[in-house]
Amino acid sequence: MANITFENVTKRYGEVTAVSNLNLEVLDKEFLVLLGPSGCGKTTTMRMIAGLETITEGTLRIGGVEVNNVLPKYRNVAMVFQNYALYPHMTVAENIGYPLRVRKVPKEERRKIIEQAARTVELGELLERYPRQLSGGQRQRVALARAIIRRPTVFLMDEPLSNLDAKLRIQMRAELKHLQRELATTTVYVTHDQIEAMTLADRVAVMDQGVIKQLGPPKTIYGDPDNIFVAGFIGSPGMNLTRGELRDGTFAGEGFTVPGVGGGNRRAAVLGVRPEDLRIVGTGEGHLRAPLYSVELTGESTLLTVRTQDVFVIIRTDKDFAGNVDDEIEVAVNLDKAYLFDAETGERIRG
Amino acid sequence: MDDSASTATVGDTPAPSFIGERLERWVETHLRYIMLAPAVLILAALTLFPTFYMFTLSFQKFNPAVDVPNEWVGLGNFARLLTDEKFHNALGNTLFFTGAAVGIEFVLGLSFALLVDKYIRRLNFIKTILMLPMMLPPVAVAITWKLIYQPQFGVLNDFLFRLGLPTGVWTSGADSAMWAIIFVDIWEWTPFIFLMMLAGIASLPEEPYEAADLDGASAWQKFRDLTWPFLRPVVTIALLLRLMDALRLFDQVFILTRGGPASVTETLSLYIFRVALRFQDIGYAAAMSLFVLFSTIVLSTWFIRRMQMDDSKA
Repeated sequence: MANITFENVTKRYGEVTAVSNLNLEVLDKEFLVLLGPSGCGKTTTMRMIAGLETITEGTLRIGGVEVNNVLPKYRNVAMVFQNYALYPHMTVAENIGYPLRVRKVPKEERRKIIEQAARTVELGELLERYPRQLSGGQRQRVALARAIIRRPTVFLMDEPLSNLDAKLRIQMRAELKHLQRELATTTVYVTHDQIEAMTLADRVAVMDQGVIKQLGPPKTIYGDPDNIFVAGFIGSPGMNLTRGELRDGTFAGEGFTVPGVGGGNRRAAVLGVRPEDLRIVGTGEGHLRAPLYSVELTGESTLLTVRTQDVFVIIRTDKDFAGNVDDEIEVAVNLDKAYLFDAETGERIRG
Repeated sequence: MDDSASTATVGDTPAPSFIGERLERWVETHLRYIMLAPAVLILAALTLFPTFYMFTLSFQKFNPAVDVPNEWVGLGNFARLLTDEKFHNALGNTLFFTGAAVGIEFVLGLSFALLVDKYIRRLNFIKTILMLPMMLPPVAVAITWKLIYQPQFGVLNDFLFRLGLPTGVWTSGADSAMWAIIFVDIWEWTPFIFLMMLAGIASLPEEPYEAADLDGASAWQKFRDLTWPFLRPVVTIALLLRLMDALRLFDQVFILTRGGPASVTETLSLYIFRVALRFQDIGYAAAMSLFVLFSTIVLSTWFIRRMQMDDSKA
């Protein structure tokens, strides 16, 4: 059993609060992704689990045991670092076997475990090489093998894929997910890449300014955001967010109105609609009429930008869309997928 | 012709005469050699010529009388090296001094650097104080220590006497003289090792240490498996510089003991100096100098190779 529990955990560096009053439970064998922009406290949160950062206030438990004052080496936690943190003057085999060597596991036994771990991450041929003779992806595998070799109760991964090229990243992503299922070990994974978060996670914790903005399965985070931050952070291109006024369930923005969105009366509200939840309709049937500002073909679809006064709205449409800049188009909102937020608190207005 | 004229003249200065133009072009193409020439000449006069002259002298018997030519003796001077007990004594003393002084300096310098890095990283004035001995002129250091060691009115004996401890004759004791010199060298040059190691430690990467923390390494294991291999290039340079310097030790011995008592502190440099200038046996002194030069080169090369070999393995 290795669940991780944060109880009112705060981390301050002098005057700066990196993590503020965090309450979070990572379930046993769960793959939890901490997602957020740089400086949001996600890495600090992970480093507190590792014991590389002290905890200013609150309690951290691993497997039910308080670990606030437990040294990293007694936590049985393994970490994969962003820059791999391999030992440059040791061979691949020595790197992978280092956790066993410091525990004085006999050489013969060590060799067997190293070879097995190397096979798991497909490194068998490279055991006698040095890290600098390896490619980024291979180094990543060495770091992984070093992490799995001592069967830790918790895996921590700090943006492990961010230094790899795009193609390799997708391949390693799949391997990581497979490996985590196979080893069935509680995993906390830090990233600023939402695609990684969506594809890998059982649950995602979206963080901003030291606070968890929303915690839930990827589907919920994407399809049912709790606040403007999560709505705007997830998705590429991001959700269209427009300020306006609510009157009897009708949203009035700059240059357009959307009736039937609910939410009663409010002076300041924000309407959020994802680009794929907007569609082009015939004259008189839509909510917004405006000239095309740009047309971008991405391959699988076309992104249209229209401009109405100071507001830019992005629409994802068919890849075969034919139209030119300055053509007027009319756009309708999919009312089931329109989200309303309070403009002041940023919280979702439900109902 | 038009082209060359336009490259050789600048702006609207009048076109120079044919000879002037050629000279200017020659100067332009050879400018770097012209600029380097004075420095190269001075270097040649001060190092290349004396070295070459020493080389030729080492095969001759020098004759101090004016107008009497030197005698060629072939390898005779080098043959003397094999049987000269004073030379063997000086060689032994030099090696003992180098081993003891550089060894202790290294252990102390590295330890201080690790301690300072760990506990007083920000206190720069402590670092400055620790480096002071290195900044003093070596002769001043030696004279200061000569006064400290002085048996009748030196501070050291005074201090020991007041504490009720046995006093000593230090630089004139057969057993203590060499250690008195070694101690001064340690005092003077430990800061150098300290400085080099501090620079090396400051450039250590952080992540492998965090990885080692998680992997369960103890402080000693982290030193052995991370710090030491990371520092090895700096260690190589620091030790090499100290070795080469220690092997030619002269000023401290000359001021503190003059090689005495008897010849227990006579180093190679001091013996060569005596042979050359006291006994006027310049040819033999040249042969010894050549031997020292050659051994230092061989030793340094071997040392660098060895460290690089370890390095390329890493």
